[in-house]
Amino acid sequence: MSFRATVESMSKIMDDMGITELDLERQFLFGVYRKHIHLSKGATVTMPSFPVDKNVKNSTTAGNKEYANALKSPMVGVVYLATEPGAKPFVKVGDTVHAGDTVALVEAMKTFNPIKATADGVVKEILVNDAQAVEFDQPLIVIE
Amino acid sequence: MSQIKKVLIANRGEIALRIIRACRDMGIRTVAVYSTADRNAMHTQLADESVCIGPAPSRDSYLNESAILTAALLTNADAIHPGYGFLSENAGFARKVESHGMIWIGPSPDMIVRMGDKVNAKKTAIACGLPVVPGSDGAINTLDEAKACAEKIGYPVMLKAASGGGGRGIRAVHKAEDLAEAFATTRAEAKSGFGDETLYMEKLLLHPRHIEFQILGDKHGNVVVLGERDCSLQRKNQKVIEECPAAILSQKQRDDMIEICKTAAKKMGYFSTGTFEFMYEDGKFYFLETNTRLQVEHPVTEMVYGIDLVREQIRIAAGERLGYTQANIVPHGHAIEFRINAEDPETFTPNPGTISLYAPSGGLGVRVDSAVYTGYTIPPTYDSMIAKLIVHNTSRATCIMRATRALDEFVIEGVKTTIPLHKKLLNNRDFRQLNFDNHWLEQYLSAEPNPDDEIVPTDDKQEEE
Repeated sequence: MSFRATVESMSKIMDDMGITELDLERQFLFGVYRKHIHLSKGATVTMPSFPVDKNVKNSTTAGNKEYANALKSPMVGVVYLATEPGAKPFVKVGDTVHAGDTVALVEAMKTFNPIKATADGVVKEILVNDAQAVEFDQPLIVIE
Repeated sequence: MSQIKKVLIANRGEIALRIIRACRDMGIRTVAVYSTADRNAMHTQLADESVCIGPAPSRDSYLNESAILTAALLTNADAIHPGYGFLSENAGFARKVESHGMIWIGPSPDMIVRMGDKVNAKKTAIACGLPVVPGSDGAINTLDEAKACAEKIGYPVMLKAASGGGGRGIRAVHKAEDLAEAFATTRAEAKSGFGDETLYMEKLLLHPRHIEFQILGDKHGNVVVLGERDCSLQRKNQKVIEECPAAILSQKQRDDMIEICKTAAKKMGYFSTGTFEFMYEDGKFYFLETNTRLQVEHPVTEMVYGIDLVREQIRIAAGERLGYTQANIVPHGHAIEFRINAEDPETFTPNPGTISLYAPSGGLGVRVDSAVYTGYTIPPTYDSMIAKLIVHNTSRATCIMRATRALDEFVIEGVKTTIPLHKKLLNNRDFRQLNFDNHWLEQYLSAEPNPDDEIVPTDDKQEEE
């Protein structure tokens, strides 16, 4: 099973069962864990952080109204736009996507959650940078 | 304070604000976490940084351990303060905080486990010399054993199914003649209800008061006890009014219990804030439980003892020493806290909604811990407590006078609150004369109003210019 497939099947199982965290004991999970460390080398040393500026801080509230069609982060975490740094991004502006396509990953506590397109459409705007910290409900990608 | 530079507050409402304020006073940066229902809440607005961690239901936000830990790591917080409720007594969460290299502002996770389980807590209490409710130390298997035990501890007694709960499998026995029948019935009930006929026996307290002692210890074995609080006025196990000190106690009783609690906390190796709760009846104390956290009613102790308990928690978590001993602890006057809930003051139906006017009282000796403001909409999702009014004065009598004034001044419009109930209680003869126990408030609320119970308020306003 490829890394991506493993991650996706794992997070599907976790979603289905309502699991939000795992204790990493088994070998194959540990593999995922190590892969993540590799994937975000920088992040293990300096965590990505939220903008501290008050105006930026509260931008999500305004953002929700502005980006009605945006896919939103289902959790607080770090968003990844590609499987690893330098790899081809899941999507870029102008791409056509189908419902169910993974367009980003949000990682929280070493577990990855695929962000999937909810409908067919075209990627209009990507509102976040790769490896950026995101809040719950923060708009990520606009698909129209 | 070198170790803690940024604290994440895993809570909401007035207690989140209380902690943000203590941090600000210490020059520590703060991170608030909030649910989508709390975007406009004061804690979200006042913290240096705020992170949305989930939707309105607590389970997905304020109880979402992974979201809170992620928020803490992403904001580089070095410590987490859990407040009260939510994750404050969750040892598993406390351990995760520590295993992620952050400081847990509270007692050790092991202490939370040890005191969180009722049976374990009682064993620890006995081992550390705290007085407990006398009873059979284990199962009562025969009627003869039951008789012997009841004679020893004295009637009335309570028969309890070991596996029981929720008020079932429990029976009061007031005199020896009733024991045989009660024993048989309770045993049968235990068998059919819980599949386990094991019974045990405890002394039944008929008129207990709730009196609790405030423990404060550091990580170097120093412990002080900041006196006690009388929290007997309760409705459905929720405290309504709390006082410090418990005026019913003599100075000797207080001093003795402070010594007993201090010794016990030292023996346990307790650090951070904690509360030893007791039932008090006929001059005797009976251990109830330990709360391994900051309490809602901590401000009354702060007002009387002049110590900022949240600041102390943070200092202790950072490894600092208390820097004072019991001899330095001096109480001043009397303090009363009134919990103001957004509820109908007669039916107690919660009344969420928009506050059209909020004008809290003020002046000397008046403190309001709240997180609401004019125009704020109280979400229906969380607790109905919207403010705590804490009044301090030199004596209980003058404190009641000042509290009457403060409650008269307090204006909250747009939602119903329990302020009218507090005003009524302040004028009640039993309340004024300390003539109440844990059951008093519920009996008072279910009884027909009796004008003889009211003390006609004397006009204590200044008439002259």
